[in-house]
Amino acid sequence: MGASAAVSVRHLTRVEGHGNIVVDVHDGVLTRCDLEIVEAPRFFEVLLKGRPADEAARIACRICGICSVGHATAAVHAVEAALGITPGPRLRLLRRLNMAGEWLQSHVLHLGFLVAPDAFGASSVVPLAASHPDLVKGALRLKRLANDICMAVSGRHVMPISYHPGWMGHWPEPVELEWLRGRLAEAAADLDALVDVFAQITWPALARPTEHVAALEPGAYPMMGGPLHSTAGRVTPPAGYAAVLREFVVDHSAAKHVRGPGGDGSREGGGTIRVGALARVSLAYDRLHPTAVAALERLKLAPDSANPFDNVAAQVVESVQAHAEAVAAVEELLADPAPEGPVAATRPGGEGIGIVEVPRGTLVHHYEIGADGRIARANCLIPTGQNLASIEADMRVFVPALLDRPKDEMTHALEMLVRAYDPCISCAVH
Amino acid sequence: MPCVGAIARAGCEAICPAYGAPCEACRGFHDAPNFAALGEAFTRHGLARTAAAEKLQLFNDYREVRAAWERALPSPSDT
Repeated sequence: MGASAAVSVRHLTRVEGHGNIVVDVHDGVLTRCDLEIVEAPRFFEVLLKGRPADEAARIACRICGICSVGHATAAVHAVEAALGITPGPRLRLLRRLNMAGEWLQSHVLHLGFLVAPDAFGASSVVPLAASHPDLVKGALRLKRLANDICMAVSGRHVMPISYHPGWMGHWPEPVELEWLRGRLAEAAADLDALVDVFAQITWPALARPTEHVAALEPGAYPMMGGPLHSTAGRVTPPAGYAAVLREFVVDHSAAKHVRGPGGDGSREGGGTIRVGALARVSLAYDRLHPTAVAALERLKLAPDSANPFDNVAAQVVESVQAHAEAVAAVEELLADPAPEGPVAATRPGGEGIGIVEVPRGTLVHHYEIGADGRIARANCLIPTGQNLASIEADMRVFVPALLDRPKDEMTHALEMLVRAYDPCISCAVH
Repeated sequence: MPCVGAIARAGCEAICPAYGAPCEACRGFHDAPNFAALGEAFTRHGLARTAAAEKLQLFNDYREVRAAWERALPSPSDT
């Protein structure tokens, strides 16, 4: 007789949205190993249909309260590509500053409030605030700073207002940028402490090599989008995204799964992929800021790691990276505070693809805009959807190694694995 | 830009117009919205009737609003 076990977590806590972990092992045979996505689809692609293209960023940003800047950026990139608009370098820099703010905000939220309780034996952030007050207070200060960056650039702490094709509706005043400069300088100590705290944590050893994917732009750490690069050596221009990020429906998930072209190449049998902080570090660790490289070394993070738990350390590295990028962007914008734009459209409609590296990975918005300036078709590919097949493949490797543990330990280990990916289920069921 | 701030419920300090986006009345309308005056203002500025109606659709697409808008600025087939 082989071992038998059953795990059923009906609504996994400390993730965004509603998902269940369901695992059944009968007589040593794994019969079920699912991350059920039970949150209802939200039909944002249909909500966008028929709306004027200028509204795309303001509607799409409502997909997520955590990566709303990412959705606004992908939306505005897609509209600009469709209408033949090429924003200038300082407009791109201002948007990059906002993205850096969002990365820091999202990563710190995950690290300090969703992951840290697992690492320090707390059931949630509430008891953690009593046992580790410095960690929680430091994370709160970093999150406030990060949200304030987004507010100064785009008008709100979440769900930016100012994104338009070819221009930004607000250009931060020097006094706002100087305020951010001071706040960023103060935050260095809290970031340093965050690195220290996460350098102490030992995660389960789980190695499952798979393809890592990120959109790399020339000469910078991947953030604002570009061709899709993979650790399998493949480089795909944005227009070819659908061939390498292949979406399909599975019965147990309201969010579509995505697979790459690896594996046996069949529609549902293709290779799994990972996107997000660890994938970006794998593909672009040589582009990290020196302070982020120092953090990577303190965390002993191997850039070519095949352990999904290392996504947590990669998020710490990227928090340092985002801070360094924000500091540099504020200085550059202060050196020349004159607003840039607007850049006019060169055609009334067309087809456009916007790709952005959001905190959880590669986000794609693909629109068709009619000659009337309205969105005729929209398709959004969400990072969490791209990771779902990998999460389940990791679970299938992890479960046999956990069979000798008590059921509550096995359950907790599987919860931690899913959380390490920082899934945003609400985004995934957009 | 078709902005419906003139009849929107306040409290937001008009951050959308301040940051370059038209008001979409995400908080709903104030207690006595003057749809007729808004419709007239839209017409006067050469904005299509549909431009205002579709702004209202984003957060306030319900029967009473559609009816009020229709009374304020009847579609060409009604006149």
